[in-house]
Amino acid sequence: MMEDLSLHILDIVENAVAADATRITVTINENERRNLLTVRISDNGRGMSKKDARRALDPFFTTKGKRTGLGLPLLAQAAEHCGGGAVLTTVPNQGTKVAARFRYRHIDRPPLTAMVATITALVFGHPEIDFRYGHRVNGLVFRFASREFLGDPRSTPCLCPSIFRAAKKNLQTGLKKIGRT
Amino acid sequence: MTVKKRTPEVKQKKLTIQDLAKIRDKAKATMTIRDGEGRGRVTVHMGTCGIAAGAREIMNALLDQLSKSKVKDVIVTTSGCAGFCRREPMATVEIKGHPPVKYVDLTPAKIRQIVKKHVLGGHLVVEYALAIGSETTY
Repeated sequence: MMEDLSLHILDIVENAVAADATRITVTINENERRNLLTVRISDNGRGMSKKDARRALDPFFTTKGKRTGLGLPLLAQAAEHCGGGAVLTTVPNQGTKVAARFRYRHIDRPPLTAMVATITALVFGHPEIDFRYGHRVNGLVFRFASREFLGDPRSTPCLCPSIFRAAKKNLQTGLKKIGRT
Repeated sequence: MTVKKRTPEVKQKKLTIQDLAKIRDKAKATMTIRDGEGRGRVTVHMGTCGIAAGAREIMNALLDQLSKSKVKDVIVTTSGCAGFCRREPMATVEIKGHPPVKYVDLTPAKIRQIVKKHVLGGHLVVEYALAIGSETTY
């Protein structure tokens, strides 16, 4: 089982990568006043057919030639346990959106924790993809775009130590300023 | 006249475009990987099973160790479930001219050692290896 929401997010974004997305957006909205935490992940990958989409939340459905496909069902289960739920919207050849809602103060709501580790793992594991990450905490906003650090994907994206450190620092200070570490 | 209420955007000292361009140019000058001149590739398995077992920390330790060692010609990427969830976290190391090696039951300390010994030194770390070979990556 996933210990925290940032791991669920990593898992769902890896799905988007596997669906040949070139642009992936992660949006987190924490609203204590409305007692609501929303996670949205959208991509421009190949999407799913209606038939596949209907079964995507079934843990024993997968398109990858194995027996289980647990990523989405685990996220949906976590959200449902917290008085929320997950919604999947997908259009073939256009992309997929996953939105999960949690009651913010629900006793079972997993903590978000290590978003910096999730984003750095994604950005530097797939430097060719345009990642955008927006995080709002009670009105305060932090935005991150991988392109600002890696530039045009056609011009040799790389694991350059200075870029890696700059991106990590940017995430750390940005999240700290909105009250998240 | 109504004043449009704007969401307060967190202010932070941003790198300017010029700074970034400078970093990028510097990087490009010494960069060769994606042009096929690289020394190899490390694939971290990031299926649901891998992630639940700690693949994210493996990935970050790998990136950190590579950048500490100032290695720039190694491609880092991820793959899905390799069908051997019990031995996750796993990673596959492919060095040019050598067969791919799959490492299992990883910890951040183990992957750092693998970077030092295998990726940089060219000596496979037998204790952590499962087998020689590779599954399809995406």
